Amino acid sequence: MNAIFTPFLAILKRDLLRESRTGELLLGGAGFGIVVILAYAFSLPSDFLTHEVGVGALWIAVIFASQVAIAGSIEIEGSAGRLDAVRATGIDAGIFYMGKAFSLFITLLLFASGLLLITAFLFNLEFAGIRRMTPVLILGIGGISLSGPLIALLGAGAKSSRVLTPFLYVVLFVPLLLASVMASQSAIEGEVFGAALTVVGAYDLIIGGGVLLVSPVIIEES
Amino acid sequence: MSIVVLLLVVAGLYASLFFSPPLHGPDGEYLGESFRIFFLHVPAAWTSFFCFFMAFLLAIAHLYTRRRRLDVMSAAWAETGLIFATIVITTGPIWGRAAWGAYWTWEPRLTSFLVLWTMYLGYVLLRSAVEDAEKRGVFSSVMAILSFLNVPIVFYAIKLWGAKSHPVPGPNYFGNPDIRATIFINLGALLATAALFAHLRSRVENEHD
Repeated sequence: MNAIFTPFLAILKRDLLRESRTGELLLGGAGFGIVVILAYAFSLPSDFLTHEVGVGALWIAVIFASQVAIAGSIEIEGSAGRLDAVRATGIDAGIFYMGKAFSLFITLLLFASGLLLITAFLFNLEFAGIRRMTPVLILGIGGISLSGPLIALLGAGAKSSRVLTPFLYVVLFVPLLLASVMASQSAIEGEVFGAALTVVGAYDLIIGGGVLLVSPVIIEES
Repeated sequence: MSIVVLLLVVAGLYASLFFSPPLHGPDGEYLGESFRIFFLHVPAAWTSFFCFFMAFLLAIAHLYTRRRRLDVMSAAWAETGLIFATIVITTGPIWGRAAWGAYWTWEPRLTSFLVLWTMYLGYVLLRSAVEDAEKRGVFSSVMAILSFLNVPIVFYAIKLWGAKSHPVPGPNYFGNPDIRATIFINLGALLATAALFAHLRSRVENEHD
């Protein structure tokens, strides 16, 4: 078990320490997310600023902001030659990926919680509803952190990655986005564990499982 | 093979335009001549699913074996699937305009198919954006797997919105043996066309190497 947990914790610790020192991904992602929510709020007439629209704006902001943060995280690995360094240490690529995904999960969950509070303020969400959204937020962010780095790695290895990566992100996250928005709406309206939350969980299991199987191949090729 | 495909396509066209009786909607209403597009639209959708499934299987096989030939075949099936998916999202709105009075409605089947189409468009874009052949093979195989795994989730997520205007095939469509025969002739023709396209595409790619 140590052969798995030691490198996993080392990657997790390395990423979280770096993030606590620079705040680069957290601040960059949160900043971008706030801009998306504000743009959404400014573009709609005040009558439309309801909780249904609010949770939609929140998840769009979370998807776009996490793309910025994840792409930034992968770029750091590539530019500093850290991916080569990790390969040289002989750490299993799957474990490296999991460590990276988990550190991103913590970072994304932090800024998504902040974005949720801002959405609650701008779109008049009730506090009880926000609390009920916790499982959706955890599962939704879980799905993004599991598959996001893989999409970023795919995009980073291609030409015109600045256009291609967001495109792949949005396309592959559509089911998660739809289900998370619906699960959030249900949570705000009082239902915590509905059918939509099951879809979010299914996304995490199916796509997450698929990603974990193929991620070592992509890391080797990147 | 090309002659067989051509004969099947001619048979499919004849059956769709002259052999099939007038079609009726789920509530028995007469749907007019525009409904003959159904004989292209539905088999094209099934053919695209088949192509994407083939691309998915070949992508898995490629990741296991790393044989370039499998990657080329997977890409050929995915690109062929995208052609048929494009036929579906083109004929759908034409039919929709005649049947429902609108080119597009944001309802589960249409939306999920649009998402599916964009996923495979992403696949083609990714493939064209990676220069190194080995890397391209691995990246596009992963994309083919992820896209295919996403399909049932997309469909179910969108289905939660609730079914709206898109008709669900029922006895009025498949109960009539002439209509059934026309659909299956067209399905055979399009599957054969897809196989031919995928074969030719693979050959072009292999010759290019």
